[in-house]
Amino acid sequence: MSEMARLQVPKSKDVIESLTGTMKIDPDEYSPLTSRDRLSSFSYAVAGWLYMLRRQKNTRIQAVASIIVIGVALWLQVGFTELALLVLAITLVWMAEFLNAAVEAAVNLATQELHPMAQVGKDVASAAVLLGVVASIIIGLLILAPPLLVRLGILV
Amino acid sequence: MTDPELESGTLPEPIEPDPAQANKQVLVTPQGEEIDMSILGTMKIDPKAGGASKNANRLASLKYGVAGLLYLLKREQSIQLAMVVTLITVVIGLWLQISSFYWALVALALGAVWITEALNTAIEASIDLGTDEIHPMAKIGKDVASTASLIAVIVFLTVVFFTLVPRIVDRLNG
Repeated sequence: MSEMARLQVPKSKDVIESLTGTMKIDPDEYSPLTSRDRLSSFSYAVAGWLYMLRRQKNTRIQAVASIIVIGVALWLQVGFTELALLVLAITLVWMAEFLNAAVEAAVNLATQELHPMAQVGKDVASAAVLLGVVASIIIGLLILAPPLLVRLGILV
Repeated sequence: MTDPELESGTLPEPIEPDPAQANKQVLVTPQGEEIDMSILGTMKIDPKAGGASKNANRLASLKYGVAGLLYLLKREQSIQLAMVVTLITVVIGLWLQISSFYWALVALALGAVWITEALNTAIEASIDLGTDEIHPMAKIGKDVASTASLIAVIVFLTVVFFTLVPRIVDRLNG
């Protein structure tokens, strides 16, 4: 209980104590189900992926877009480092999209009513996806546009 | 300094996991709904059944994204700081005339910072929505979400250290 009390007083002299407060909390004590083993956490991740592909249209579009981008990169024979950067950019959007869906589920779980904080939670989570898409478009253009223009004969 | 009322223990009681449910493949909710715990179980859930409101179309989801971005820019100091850092980085990049590959690296690192900051704010809002009480799990949720932001900042600084810093030093040495 004293750890939580320190949460209330961030200016407490015991800064070190409050820093170590979080890790003293055992999440299993407040979870209706405790994760059983490594293998089942992996299976939850696969289950979440299947859910996204089946239920979210955006994720399916994203999967197609990802395959097209990788296909174009392979066709243009970009270097390994450029390819690695593209894979990172694609992964960034996927992660933002999945975390957005997780936040949405948590918000829907918390309340069925309309609430300003529900709007903040959902809108800001989808802003994260938008930011990821913007960053990925910039990265994609920087890496793919020059060789693509050369290949299409527009740039010499 | 500590609030005596909190000192006397207002923490929620830990809950006991139901051992009968521990290794089952199908769980039953208090409302009698069945939850399939297998790999193929999650995708059987229809999100439209559980949402208070849902996206009408693709354009509307873009609108929500922009609305969230405006909220962040107005209300979140850390995002305003990220904006300033982004502008400074772009100016330095233009000054050094870095290659498009380095631009892509910097964009990726900055993107990670913005995204984790946005998701941190979103998770904070959903936790505040979920409970008004002080709860250990709320602390974990908020702390861990801000750890994600911290990691992204460390990654960004690492990228800057390897891409921009050597060139700035070169430039300043003539």
